[in-house]
Amino acid sequence: MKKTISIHLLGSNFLVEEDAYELVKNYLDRLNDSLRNSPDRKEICEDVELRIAELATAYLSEKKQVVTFEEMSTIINTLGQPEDFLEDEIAGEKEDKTNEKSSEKKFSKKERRLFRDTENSVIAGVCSGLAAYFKIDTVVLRIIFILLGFAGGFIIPFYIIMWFIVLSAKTNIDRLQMQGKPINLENLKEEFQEATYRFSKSSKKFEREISDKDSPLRQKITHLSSFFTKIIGAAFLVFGSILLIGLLTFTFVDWEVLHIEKNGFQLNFNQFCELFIVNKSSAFYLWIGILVAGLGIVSLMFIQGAKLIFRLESKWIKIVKIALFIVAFVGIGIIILEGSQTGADFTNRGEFEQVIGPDSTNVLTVEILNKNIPDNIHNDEDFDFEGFQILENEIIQSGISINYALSEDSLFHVYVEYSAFGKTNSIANQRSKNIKHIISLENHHLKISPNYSYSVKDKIRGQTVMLKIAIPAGKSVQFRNTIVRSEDIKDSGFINRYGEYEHYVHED
Amino acid sequence: MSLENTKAQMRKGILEFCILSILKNKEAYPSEIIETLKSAKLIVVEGTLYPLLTRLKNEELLTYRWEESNAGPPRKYYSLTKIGKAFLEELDATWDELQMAVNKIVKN
Repeated sequence: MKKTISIHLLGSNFLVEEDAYELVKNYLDRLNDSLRNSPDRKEICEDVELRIAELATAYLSEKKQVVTFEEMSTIINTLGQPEDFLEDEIAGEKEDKTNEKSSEKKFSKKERRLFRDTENSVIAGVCSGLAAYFKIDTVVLRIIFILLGFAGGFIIPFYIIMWFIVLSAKTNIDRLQMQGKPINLENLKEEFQEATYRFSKSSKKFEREISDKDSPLRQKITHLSSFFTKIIGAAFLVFGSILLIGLLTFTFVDWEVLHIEKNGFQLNFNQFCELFIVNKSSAFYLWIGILVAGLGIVSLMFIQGAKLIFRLESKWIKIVKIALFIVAFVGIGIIILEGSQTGADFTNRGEFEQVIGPDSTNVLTVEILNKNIPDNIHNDEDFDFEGFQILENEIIQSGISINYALSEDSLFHVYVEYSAFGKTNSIANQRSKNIKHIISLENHHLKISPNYSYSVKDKIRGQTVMLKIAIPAGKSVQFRNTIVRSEDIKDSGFINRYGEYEHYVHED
Repeated sequence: MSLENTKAQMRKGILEFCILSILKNKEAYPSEIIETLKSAKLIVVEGTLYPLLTRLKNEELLTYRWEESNAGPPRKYYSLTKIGKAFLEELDATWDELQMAVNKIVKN
């Protein structure tokens, strides 16, 4: 195993083996050293660097990312030792004059350019590039930028535009050109024209870069998006875990685990099914369906999360994902199929009406019986949740709504309507008849229980008890805390599970 | 003076002329020039070329422009300047004379 090092050769990045790096560094140092007296030193060194980069690129492919020591040796042998090939070329003093002339040329108008100085940058090197160009102290320019940023804010979009338009100084030539001319009007005008041209060019380049997979811009975007991809992947894992915990709780532990509030569920799955689901086999299949769908979805989330985080990409993952999708769909299918059987049991509503009375008093007193369960059902700490209590084989529900009407004669009439749902009308009617409820009218006293009960065998099928009291004109109904007169017949009332009467005034 | 040295001197003298000739009708980037020179066995190591190109450019015989490459770093495409073209014409004529002169002497 060899250590690899990332090297930068004039704008290209390479991964090279450590000893290959030593080799190329030593080579370039020697080259630089051999050329120390030549004004062409920078340019020749860059040409050689470019060539090394070009030759190195030829060794690389999608699968092979690292330049080895052997390959670097071959490259250097191809180029030859600097001491050898420079001997004759540089020795002559006579060339110095022409070279001096050319080094002036380097700064001529045509080649002078504004660059971003990424090597001395705080953000993107716009300030340091401008400072180099206008020969201003970088710190001064930065302070100006910051002040302008506070003052107006337009400097921020300006900075971003400059970031996009102005290229970064990648090579040493760039860096030399960057250290341009003193500031004057002509230069500014020329630079502005060039900048407009570059802007139109760079917007085209932008388009091209977006579609080019290897472009630095695309890499930047890829980098950013891969960061978000990883966050999404992590979210998948977190939600997957939560779902899994929920599923395990649901499957293996009593629902009491989920009991948070006093009025929350305390049923385990079997007990819940007993109360709601049509029959035991349906409940079993429903349970299987939830398990299959749940495990399928959880596995999918885990696989997707892991795939996004670790950038896994393989045919097998796809196959497994498709398989899991099918599993989850099958599970959901079972849930729908079995659930619809239970749903069908809610399609027909049945009613059963009982008439109590009449009574001839002026004031009918309503006495709500103790909220406690009737004596014949003994309370043994079973289950209790909002409006329901389950004791042995009886489901006890509370809450009775009351409507009022005007009596057609001078007597009080009380109607109790029991209703329930069922697959057919007759089943629904039977269920409504099965509701047990205590109500009696004796000596001008209407005694009523806030609870009613029915057999567990009947299931919870929307059983309700409604009371209708017909009040003769001029007479009234007396609750413990409220009087309802014959003028108030549009109002309604409700006896809650604590045995209290709640009155609701009708508003037009 | 060794044989190798003499060979190297001979090659070096005509190397400039050959580079200018390669660029006579088309522009080329160093790798292309290298390939041509290598196949003609005029250069042994590539490094020789770069100081030469820089010198010719500084003498304003050559000029170059940058071009992006699909694979690898950008390339410098070299071409002859006006001065370079005139220079090459002179060299062409000189070379013809030289060749004839040399052949005459060697074969006799």
